[in-house]
Parts: sequence; structure tokens; C-alpha cells
Amino acid sequence: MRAFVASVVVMCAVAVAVDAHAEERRTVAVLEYRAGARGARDIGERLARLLRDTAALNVIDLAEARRKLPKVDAEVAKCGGEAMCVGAIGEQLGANEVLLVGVSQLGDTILALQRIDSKRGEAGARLAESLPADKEITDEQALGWLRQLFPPETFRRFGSIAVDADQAGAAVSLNGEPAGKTPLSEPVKVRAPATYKLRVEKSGYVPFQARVDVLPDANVEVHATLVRESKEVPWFKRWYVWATIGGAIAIGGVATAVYFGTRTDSTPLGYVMKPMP
Amino acid sequence: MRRLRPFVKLLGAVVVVAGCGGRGAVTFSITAPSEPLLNPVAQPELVTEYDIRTASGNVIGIASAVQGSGSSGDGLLPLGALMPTMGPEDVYVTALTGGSTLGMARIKDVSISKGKTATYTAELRKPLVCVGAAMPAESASGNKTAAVQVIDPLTAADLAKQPSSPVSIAGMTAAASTWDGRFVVAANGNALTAWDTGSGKTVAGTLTLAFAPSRVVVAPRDQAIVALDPGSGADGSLAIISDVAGFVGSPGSANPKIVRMPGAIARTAAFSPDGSKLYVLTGGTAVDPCAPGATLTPNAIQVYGLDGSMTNMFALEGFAADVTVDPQSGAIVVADVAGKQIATLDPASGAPTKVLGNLTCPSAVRVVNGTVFAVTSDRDMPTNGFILQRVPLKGGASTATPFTGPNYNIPIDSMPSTNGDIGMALLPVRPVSIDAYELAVTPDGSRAEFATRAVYNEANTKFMFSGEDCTANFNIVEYGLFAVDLRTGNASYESRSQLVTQGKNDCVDCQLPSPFPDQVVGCQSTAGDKPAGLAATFGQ
Repeated sequence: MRAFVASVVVMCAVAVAVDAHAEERRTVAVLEYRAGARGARDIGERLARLLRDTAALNVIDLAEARRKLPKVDAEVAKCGGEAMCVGAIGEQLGANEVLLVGVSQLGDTILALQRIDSKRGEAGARLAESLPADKEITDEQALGWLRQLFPPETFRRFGSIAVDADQAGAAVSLNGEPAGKTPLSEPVKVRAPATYKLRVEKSGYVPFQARVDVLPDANVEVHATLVRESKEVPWFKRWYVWATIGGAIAIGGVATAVYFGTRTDSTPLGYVMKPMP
Repeated sequence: MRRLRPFVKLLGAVVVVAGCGGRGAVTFSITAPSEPLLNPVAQPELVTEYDIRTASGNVIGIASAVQGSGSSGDGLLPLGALMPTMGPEDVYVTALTGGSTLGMARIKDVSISKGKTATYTAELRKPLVCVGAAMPAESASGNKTAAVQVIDPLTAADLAKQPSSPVSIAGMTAAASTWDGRFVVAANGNALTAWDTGSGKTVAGTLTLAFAPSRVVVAPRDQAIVALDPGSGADGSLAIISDVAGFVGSPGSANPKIVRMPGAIARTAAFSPDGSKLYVLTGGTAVDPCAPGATLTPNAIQVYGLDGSMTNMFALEGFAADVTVDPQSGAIVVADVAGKQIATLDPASGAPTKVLGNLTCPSAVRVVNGTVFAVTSDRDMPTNGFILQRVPLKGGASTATPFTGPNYNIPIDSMPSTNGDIGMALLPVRPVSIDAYELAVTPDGSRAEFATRAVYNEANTKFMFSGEDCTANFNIVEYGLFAVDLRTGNASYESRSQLVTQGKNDCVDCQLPSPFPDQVVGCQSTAGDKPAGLAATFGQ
């Protein structure tokens, strides 16, 4: 019965999307320039979507850019890739920087991605890729390019968990780390997307446990109801429950070991030695 | 906890061993010619990336060379962790400026494996297009060959004509680049030698053959050089030089193997990607398959091993003008004039499979990066244009790039005005056919150069000029060189000669009212040469 109550409480957890971190974010406009190429048709839209989904950035995609600046495509084409000119367009769009996606065709489709600082009109990180005409671009591939272009912190995102309980003074922990006592003065800021093991416990009460999925920029509110302990052995204190969990952890450990054992971190590093002038 | 201690210690030891085991490092050391005109990275600030790939196209790594990238003070650009290769593989190194190729190098037998530390030298060269010249079969007084051109595709400049150019090639009637791009094997008449793409000089010594090669081909990985005999009767031959390194060091010391081709004369040839098979298209080079009235008999592809033994032969259903082999898939691709198509051939039976059809006289074909390039006599009406077709070898939509054809002007008996405002009257004529007898495409597929034989032919063609009834009867052959920028579609043309074979004295006859005699105009030749020996380093 208590387990049922706890489950109900977990199901009552409410995810509230907040934009608490928006004010810290940079705005990137994803603009596209095509030199008569037909390949990689939706690459600009796709990169904008991936940036929006994975990075702590405000993203202006092509559609939004066209709404703000109806002649944006012609303006970008007129720039011919010149950073100062593209940067000026970024300024007009209210973007801190522009991710310029250039698509040309040389037998293969040639994709050139370049970050341009709007204010300074300076080109930053750049990446060029040759794509066979018959090969579809996968999201993984496109995300790989974005991760090469943008620093790792760009892809660190956060959410928060607000915990409330019907008992004051209950200890709150997330993944085993203490996070304060109820009532918490403010939501706990956590990395996202991620899953956290929330535990709220107080002596004399059955500990409340829940698995909380936190999406980026979302605030998850959890209302924990603590039930007084009885003599009856709760389900989570039964040996077979923990045996099952232990087995699962062991399998996960083996899988992790296999993954790390076979990843390319152990392969040689490569270098190009430039010709001496 | 005490029980766990040995386990924890063991785990710690494993982590330390794994961390200190040495992952190794593979360095690609770039070298470039000292001659600035031939040095692809003479302006290092232009280099944006070094792209390292296997011959099959798999990316090994891309090192950013832009300022502010992760270059250390000792000139090392990081490529990151490299995927191990299954065994020794050939590797292509490309220096890029944006999307354009500055230079390339090919390295044999690179192996990347865990813990390996190695340095491979990449001798960078520009992707040049060399164009030689030969005397045309059509005689005209004053015919003579022009100087060899060495085109830098990035600037379209002829490096041989630049001030203080180191380029020195006496003449070139047939040529092919070595696989590593460091030399162009050049025939000048019967003499075969090598031109160093790094120094711009011809290496000392020549090999004198019993024939003046019509074509030269070099096998992948520089396994062999083959010179094709244009033949003097019904029989042809091949000269196979197996020691390419020895040849480019001392051409005069080479010992070619002569292989007889009874009853067949080679037209052109191409190697399989592994260099073990030579596909020789027969039919000779004298035939212009696109010319009006050309008699075309079905030709064949003879397959030879490097030892000169013929291992197979495909009798074609009709006449094919050209053959090439896709360096990646090994597909044999022919310009099938009779079938009006570009087709691949089954390597066992020779049966054709259409890649692109409904073509008018496809005369030259190459495959670069999976894309087929074919020059055709398809007209781009109503302009005086012909079509260069591009289509993925695996199938898909084709891209037609029109290029403006040549034209011949017949001067009409007229008198310019004394003030110079009114000029001579000219009758412009456009060709009826164009045969691209040689084609070279740069390795990035950005530029195609092809040598053409255009024919202007009118037989009793009626037209009116200034109210008079006129009749045209002539046959004129024009040789020229097209350069097509495949990124923009811009094409340029250099006419090398216009040779009148019929109608020297009476190519146009206009009837004037009695009692005046007919006005008869003769067509004049412009002597010159024909482009020959097109060779694209690293290209096709």
C-alpha cells in the first residue's frame, strides 16, 4: 500500500518548463549559402534543430531569420562568405554569432561550416566535409560536426528539481549526494538531460524514493509524502529486490567495461607536420 | 573492506598500465617543392586544412591549418585519435584552401595500429594539367606544334609562361602522370622521358621506342608505364615498363617489354584500381567517331596482365570511343558511340549496362570521385553549344554543362568602309560534330580540360546571302582545347588550328544575276597543331 502511495506521489511529479538560464545564453543564427548545389537539402534546418536540442544556445533558424529579415538569403549570397558582411547580417538578426552553412557541389557535395562573430565580423572555427551525393547525412554525423565547431561547455545544459515534502526536516539527496532538508529554499540546479535518483528520508518514516528525468531547461517539481514506518518489511528491504538490482548493475558494469575497452582512445594520435618555410 | 583491498589494488594497477601503455603517434610529414611556382603551399596562410584519407575514401583525419587552431610551435597539427587500419593502406593527403585543392600527395602502405609510432613523408604536388601538342593529320603549310602548357587549375594560369618559370619541357605528344604525382611520363615523338613536377625540369635521358606513342598510361601505385603504339598497318603493340622508379630516375636505362597486338591497334587504355589488369580499347586513334560519314566498326577491349599476357577480350557490340576505370569501384566504363550511351561493362562477359543514354556521340569519359564525366556531341540549342554530362556512376540525375562550340568564319568578298565603322562580311559556320579525343579531370572534379576535333561539313547546303542564292560545300577540321570550370560552368576555348580539307577554293558559291559570273569564295586554313598528351596529376 505504501509502495502504491509512493508511486502515486512519483507520478504526481510535475515537470515545469522554465527558461531560467535563457538570460545567460548566446544567440546563434544558422544561415545557409548554396553555390548551385542540390545536395544536403535540409542541412541548415537540421543543424539549427540539433543546436536547439543539444546546446545551451538560443537558435535563430532559417525560417525565423527569413521572418526577421525577408531578404536574408539574398543578403547572405551577396556576402560571398565574407565574414564582416555575414557578421553584419547576424547583428541585424540580433545574434551574437552566425553559423554559416555553405553548400557547394564538386561531384560530391561540399559542406563548409563556419562560426562568425557578428559584432567583430571575424571568422572562427571552420569545418569542411565532402559528402558523396548518394549518402544521407545522419543526425549523429551533423552533431559530430557541431561538437567540433563549438566548445564542450556549449553542450552543457541544466535543469532543476524542486522538492517539497509533507514533513519538514526530511533529508533530500540526489544520486546519493545530500541536497538539503525540506523545505528546500530553492530548486536544486542539475545537469540535463539526465536521470536522478531522488531520496527523501526522515527517521520514523518510510524513505521516499523516485527516479526523476530532468530535461534541459525544465524544472521538475516533486511532492513527497512520507508515510510512518511499520513493522512490515517494505518491498525495498526484501533481499530478492536487491539481488535483482545488483545483477543489473553487474551487467551494466560489464557493458561499460566492454565499451571503454574497445573505444578508440587507445588508438594512436595523428599529426600533420607542416612543411618548414 | 579488508577483503576488497586486493581487488582495489588490482583495479588500480590495470588503470595505470592502460594509461601508460603508449597509444603511439602517426605523423604525416609534409614536404613541398622549393620552386614557388610549383609549391602548392608556397603561401602557407592560404592552407585551411590537411585532409588525410585512405585510397578508398575513408577519412583518417582532418587537421585544421587556420591560425589559432591547435598547432604547436613545432609545426605539428593535431589529427586526433586515428582509426586503426586493417593493414597497410595507401593514403591520400590533400592540402585545401576552403573547398579548393592546393596540393596532394599519395603515400603507399601506411599502417595505423595501436601503440605504433611512425612518420610518413607526404611529398606534396600541385594538381597540374599538362597539355602537349602534336601535328595534325590534315596538312596545311605552316603547321607547327605549340609549347607545352602546364596549367595550375586553381588560377587557370599556364605556369610555363610565368616570368622566371622553372618549367622546361621540350615537347609532349603523349603523357600521363605517375600515381604519386611527382612525375609526368612524357613522350615526344619516339622519345619517352619524365618531367619532374617538383623542379619543373625534365629528368636526364630518354628512352627511344620503335614507335611514337599515341597514349601513355601509368598503373596505380606506379607499378608500370604502358605506351601505346599507334600502329603502321593492321598490327599494333604495347611497350610495358615495369620499373617506374627506375624509369623516372634514368629513362634511358629502362628496359621495356614490347607486346604485339596482332590484328588490333590500341585506341586508349586504362588500368584496374589494383594495377594488375590493363584494359586496352582497340580501334586506333585515327578514327573520329563523331565526324559525319565516319565508318565505325565494332571494336574490342583486350585485357592484359603486367607481364604482357592477354588474359581476356570483350568484343563490343558497336564502336566505343573511350574507356576508363573507376579508381574506387573498379567498374569499366565506356563511351559507347554506337549505343549512344555511357555504360559499364561486366568484367567477366563485357556485357554493357547503361549509366546514361540518349547521347549523341559520347567521345570521352572519365570517372572522378564516383562521378562520370562525358563529353558528347549533344547540342545545346539554339546556341552553338555542346554538352559535357556528369552523372553519378551508381545512377541518378545527370547534370548537363553546356560549353560554347567553336566556329569558323567564311570571309565574303566585301569592302570595309573607309571610316572603319563597317567591317568585312563574314559567314559564321558552326561545327556539325565534336570529338573529345583526350580528356583530363582534376582530382577534385573541379576542372575538365579536353582536346577536341570539330568538323564543319556542308554538302550542297543552300542559303541566301544579300538576296542571292548560295551553295556551301566544304569540310573543315578544327582542333582546340576546352577548359571547363565545373563549379561555375564557365568554359574557355583555345582554337589550335582550322584545316580545310575540302573547299579551299570554292567553299561557297553565290549566283549573281546574268551577265555577272558567280561569286565564289574559298575557305582558308589557319595552320597550327592539335592538343595532345593531356595529363592531370592525381586526376583522371
